Amino acid sequence: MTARTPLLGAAAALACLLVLTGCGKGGGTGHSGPTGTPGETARPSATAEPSATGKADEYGIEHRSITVEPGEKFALTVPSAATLGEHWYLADPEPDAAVLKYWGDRATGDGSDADGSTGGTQSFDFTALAKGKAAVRLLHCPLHTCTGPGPHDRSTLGPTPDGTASPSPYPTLTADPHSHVGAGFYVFTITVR
Amino acid sequence: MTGFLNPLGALDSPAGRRSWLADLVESIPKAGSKNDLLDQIDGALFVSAPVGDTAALESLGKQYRGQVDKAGDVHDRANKVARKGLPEVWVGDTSVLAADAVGAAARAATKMAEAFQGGAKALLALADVLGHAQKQDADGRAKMEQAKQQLGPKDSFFDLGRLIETEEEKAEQEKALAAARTVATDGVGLMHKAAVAADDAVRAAARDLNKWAAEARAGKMHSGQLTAVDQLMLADTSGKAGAADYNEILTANDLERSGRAMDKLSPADRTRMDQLLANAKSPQEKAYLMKALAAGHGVDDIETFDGKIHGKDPAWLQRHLSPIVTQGDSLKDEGTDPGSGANVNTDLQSFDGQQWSQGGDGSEGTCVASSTVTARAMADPVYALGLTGGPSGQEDDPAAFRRRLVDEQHRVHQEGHGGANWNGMDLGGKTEVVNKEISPETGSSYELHEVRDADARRNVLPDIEKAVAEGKPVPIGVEGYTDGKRSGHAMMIIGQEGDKLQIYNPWGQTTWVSEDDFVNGGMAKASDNQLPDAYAVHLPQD
Repeated sequence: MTARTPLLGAAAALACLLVLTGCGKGGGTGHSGPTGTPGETARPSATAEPSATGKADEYGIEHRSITVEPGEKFALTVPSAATLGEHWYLADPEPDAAVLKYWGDRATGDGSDADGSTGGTQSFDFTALAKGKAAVRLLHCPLHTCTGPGPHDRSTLGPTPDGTASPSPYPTLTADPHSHVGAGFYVFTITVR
Repeated sequence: MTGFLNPLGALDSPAGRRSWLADLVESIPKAGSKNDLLDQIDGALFVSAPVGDTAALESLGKQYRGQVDKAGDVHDRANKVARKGLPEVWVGDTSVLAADAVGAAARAATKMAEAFQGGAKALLALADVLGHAQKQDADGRAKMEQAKQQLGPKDSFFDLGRLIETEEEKAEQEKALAAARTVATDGVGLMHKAAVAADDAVRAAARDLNKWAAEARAGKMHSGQLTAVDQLMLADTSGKAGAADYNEILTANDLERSGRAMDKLSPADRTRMDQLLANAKSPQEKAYLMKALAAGHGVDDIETFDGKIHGKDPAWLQRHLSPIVTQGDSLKDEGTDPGSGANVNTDLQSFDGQQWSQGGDGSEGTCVASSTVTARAMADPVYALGLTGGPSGQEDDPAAFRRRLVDEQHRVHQEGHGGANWNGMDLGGKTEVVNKEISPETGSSYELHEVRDADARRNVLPDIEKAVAEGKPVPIGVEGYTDGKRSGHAMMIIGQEGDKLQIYNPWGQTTWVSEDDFVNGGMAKASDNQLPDAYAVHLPQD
């Protein structure tokens, strides 16, 4: 993969994305659940705990250590704008099926009338089944970097000089998704107790 | 169906008539009363039959076909001369080598033969379908009249108010109504089929004839200031990479505009322009000089431009001056990506590995500004060189190109009052920037057309086809709703072949979608599953 020059205005765009994906709702906690529970003071690596309402809680990329209770439904919600051509995928190994039930992913537009508005999100829905720990690996594929995890990846679209891009391994990332250039994994640790 | 007063001129267009009849196909089988059915039958009969003189179309088609052999003869003779070779001492007015000119003549003759053949085929196919549709429509109308006769006159107020009606009479009336409804259902079905067939055939013929007319390139340049050989050569010149037919440097619109501009030059400027053309080191250099003239530049600008590109090889010229290169295999259907729904067969468009993409790598929501910048660069080689080659025009530096490209996208984004943090632009801003940035280069102002249903999209297709065949890009907005919330994206229609439209996505890529995709929500093939519907186009006005 050809190295790319730093993004212009990416930080500003990121700030907007984070706000629209709910990361700003809890004071930049990444928690967009209906009530401001522990996320309000949590730092990016802090443990977040869900609200006790009936609606499934949503956790953003700042909260990658999450504690939930058995039977609880929750979603991992990440910034993903259709107009930017980016996608997120649940990667192997999938989370322990005895601990978490994965329902699938869903995209949400940002509702703007403007073309090119970048506030969309992608959510991965789960239900906590039983006590234990599970890791969820999400692969972020910005435009032209990858087309999915594993054998389905067709990253040869990437602008490599010789057209022989290597689809893997992608790095595991901890920074926000738009502060890096290429594709990368985000690992969420879910504790069910 | 509430009547047939042609509300808002709905029946004035073939798509409107087709849609009107489609509604009746649904509602006539459900007509609940005699009067309701009679109203609906009258509504169907109010629609005019498919129009067109099939005999005249056939005659014209045969006339075109008769010219194919003549054009073929011209090609064979020119080709024979080209194969024998000619001395390089023979040159035209602007130093066109004779062998090149003869080769161009042979190719022009081939194109002429193809155009006559294609035109004849389009006309004969139209005559055939139209004849069949007219017959089918007449059969349908006969059935509608038959149903009317079966029903008799409409019940008056007094008939409706009649209280004494036996069960037997009621059953009889129901039976008569059902019988007439069956006949009318058959009739309106035939009329609708005829309308669909005629509408599709007329659109296909218009599309093909527009395309062939635009392909008759050598005749576009009506300049008294250039020799026939010069005009032929300019029309024939393509970029180095990609398929020659898809990468001609001068579009049909460029040929026309540059010819007109040549005729308007003062004698002094005309002499300078002649000199620049005569000194050009390649047909491509010459074509780009004419393209600069077509884009509206004066001879001073063109002289400076020539100073930057003079003597460069065709590959350098194409890399710096033509943002889009269309590969010969780009039309091949390789399926779609199962995740995104986008075409697998997609060509990246880049300068030295740096794509012509929004934010440089797709990271900014400047799709409106970015597609506008690329479209302008396609039309204006002086502008394109400023971005690729920098102030000197000599740079081959992808990082510097990226900085200039993104700066220019930002300028246009602000010009259209786009959102903060390079995030989104509304239709008002888009109309402003395409008119400020692209119109001066192509000579056509842009008008917004919202196309939020299949009929509206079908209606604008002929205008899109004509515009892109002439080389005028058509800005397109696409959208989709996920979880009830909208996402929108801007792209550009830049080409047409058969029933396919070539789409530039400011993600730095091009691909082809079918016109059916454009009409029926298949635009994901050019971008993403979340963006399936074309909802707005900006059409160039003549």
